[in-house]
Amino acid sequence: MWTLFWAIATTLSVDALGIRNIQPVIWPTDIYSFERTPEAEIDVAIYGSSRASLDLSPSGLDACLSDRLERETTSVNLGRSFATGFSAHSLLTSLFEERPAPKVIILGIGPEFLDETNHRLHLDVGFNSALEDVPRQLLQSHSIALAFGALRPIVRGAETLAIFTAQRHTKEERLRWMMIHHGGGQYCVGSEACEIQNNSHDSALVGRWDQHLASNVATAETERFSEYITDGPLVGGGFDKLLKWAAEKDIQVGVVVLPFHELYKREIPMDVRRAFRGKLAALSETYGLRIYDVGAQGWGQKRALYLDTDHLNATGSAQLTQDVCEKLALPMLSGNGR
Amino acid sequence: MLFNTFSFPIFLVVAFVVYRLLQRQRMPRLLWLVMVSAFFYGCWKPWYLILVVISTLNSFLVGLGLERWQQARIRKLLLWIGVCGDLLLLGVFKYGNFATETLEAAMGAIGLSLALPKVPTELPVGISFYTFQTLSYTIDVYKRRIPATRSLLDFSVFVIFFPQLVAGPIVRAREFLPQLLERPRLDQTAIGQGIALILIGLAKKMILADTLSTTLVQPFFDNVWNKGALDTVVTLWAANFQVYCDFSGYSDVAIGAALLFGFALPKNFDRPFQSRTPMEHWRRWHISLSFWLRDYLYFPLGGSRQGEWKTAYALMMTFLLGGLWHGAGWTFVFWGLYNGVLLVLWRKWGPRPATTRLGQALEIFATFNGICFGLIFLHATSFAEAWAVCTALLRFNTPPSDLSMIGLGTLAFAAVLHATPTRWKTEIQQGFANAPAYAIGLSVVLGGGVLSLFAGMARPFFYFQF
Repeated sequence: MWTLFWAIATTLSVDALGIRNIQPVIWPTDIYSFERTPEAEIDVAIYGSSRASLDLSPSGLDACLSDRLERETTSVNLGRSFATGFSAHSLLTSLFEERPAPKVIILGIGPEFLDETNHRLHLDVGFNSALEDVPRQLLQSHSIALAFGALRPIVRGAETLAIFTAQRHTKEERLRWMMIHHGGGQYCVGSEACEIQNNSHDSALVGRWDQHLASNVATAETERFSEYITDGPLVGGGFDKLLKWAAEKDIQVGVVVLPFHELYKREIPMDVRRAFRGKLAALSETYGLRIYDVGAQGWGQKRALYLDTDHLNATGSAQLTQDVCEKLALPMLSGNGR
Repeated sequence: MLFNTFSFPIFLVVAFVVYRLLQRQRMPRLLWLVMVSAFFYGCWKPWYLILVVISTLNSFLVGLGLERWQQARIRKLLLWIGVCGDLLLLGVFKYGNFATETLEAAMGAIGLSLALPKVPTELPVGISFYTFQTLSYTIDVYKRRIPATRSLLDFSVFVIFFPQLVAGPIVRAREFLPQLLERPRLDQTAIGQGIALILIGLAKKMILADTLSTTLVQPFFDNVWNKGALDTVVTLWAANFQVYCDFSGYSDVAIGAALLFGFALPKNFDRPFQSRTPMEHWRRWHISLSFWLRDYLYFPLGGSRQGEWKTAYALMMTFLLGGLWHGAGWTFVFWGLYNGVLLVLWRKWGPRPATTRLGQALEIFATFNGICFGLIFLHATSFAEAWAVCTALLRFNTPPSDLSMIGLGTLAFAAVLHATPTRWKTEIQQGFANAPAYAIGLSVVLGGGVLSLFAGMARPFFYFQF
């Protein structure tokens, strides 16, 4: 009992001190540093999983938008590994509680984003839910992994305190630099330093294609898509809640259906693809969601654009960012998004 | 489920709380232990449980038969059934592919092409450990050292008890079964000592072992070619400490977790790097396995009572099979042979025990390095790699590479810790045992936070591959 008491007390204390979003710094995005940037108005906030973090470059988006709109724009990429609608709602609402809300939110997604019951959800829940969510999340858990994830907020305080005390979150220099100077994401544009950064990032991950084939692709169908649930009592409805909140705050929300290489795409069963498209269509009808589906544009065969089978490299990211700028962000920002 | 993941403490708390509630009711309490242990083991792959059940039933029924029938022939037959049943499981899953590949290679060497069926699955976690446990039970009942248990429930707990199921300590039935007959001692002393050991074990594994692995050992063995002597020596030292911290850390967690449930498991490590001879090293290293091999292999082969040559033979066979136990590969066999030869040679020609401090320090240093050399064959994936490492020890003209300062610092820290008196660890345990509950709770939370800094993606315990 004392252990539980101290764990909860630590989490409450750490939350009260405003020390949050520390742990995911060692994942793709330094949200801790983002919270400490000046509260300027944001034109586009990008969110999604690691795919969104790699595939969509905020500085690339700004370069394109600034050119078209003839004014400086500010975009930020807050993408976080394993993200689903659950964390989209919990993170974005908490980040923009006091800061000015972005004008546009672009969600870079794949089918997994809509399935709030998928096998990775326990990580999304574990790192993004609050103490008060524990009882509800526990009741909604339909697997042991989700139950463990639901309980994670209890110990997150101790983990956060340790990371903060060790100042480990400040050791991720690259992520910090990317967030402070280029709005986050994994790739940037506009300088020689960015080119060096992009090249060294991709060089460090050169073996990832083969690794991914052996691990993620080989198990994708069974691990990710054997049960695909987008509606029903098990689903927390994070995406719906996000869209309602965005409507209240007058934020436009757009969705990019991110590209996959053919080798990954063929692991997604047809019924999952149909359910994914169906759910997106329903959300679009209800909330006026603008959707840009990259899927049908021949990205599947272009190996040279990919880091691994479902993440783009620097070249692919630059190309996709340009497309998203012209087809989605620009119309939304110039008032043609609705 | 690994000890060094977030899910383990939750599992442990749930298992413990319910166990404590059932403290006064023996059968429900033991049933609960079997259930949570099965859940723990099934988290790897549920079908592994089938093998544990087969092994358990095999030894349990053979034990009953050995009690029931007294004729020597029948008892011997039952012994063979029990032993062969267990060894068959181990043989198929652990050595099946090794045997077929060796045979194919041998046939290929004489120009015959052979393609034998392979076992289409990875090695079930812990099979080497629980098989040795059930084997020891069967043999002890046969030799009338212990009576056979008539309770399948008791025997199941003995086999499947989760703290020691997957990586030991290898527990003898005569040490464990009597504890099932007593009501468990679940007082604050036991709980405090258990928690202390768990935290110490996790610290050894997650802070020391994993750091040594990622900073020094893995980078070296990922590319062993063209290394210099200094790199090689430092890495072998690091590898020895890494295995020690990893394995003894796991043992500490296992013993600590068992204490929470009121069970005392045997010590598995006793400052092995303070040994002055190889013989002493093997009395202090993986004690439960060493003593198992001594009692069930070395002594039946004659031990040291039948002259020099027979002793040498018994030692070599024991270490050869000990090497094979560690892995299905010729490098493991060679590792066993090497250690057997080392022991035989030291017994025959080793120096007299030193009387001076300097002499004793040199003995410790020599023993440590002798053991380190053998580790080459435990880590190398082939003889070519092992040879590359051996020759690197003689390459003095290659400048040292950029050895990680964090790795070197961790190695130095591990060495210093190893040299501290044993009573320090006992005093920490006693401190926890006597501390107020709120202080223990706070230590767990803060200790857990510190350990989470080192968690990252949890690295499996080294000895799981055995």
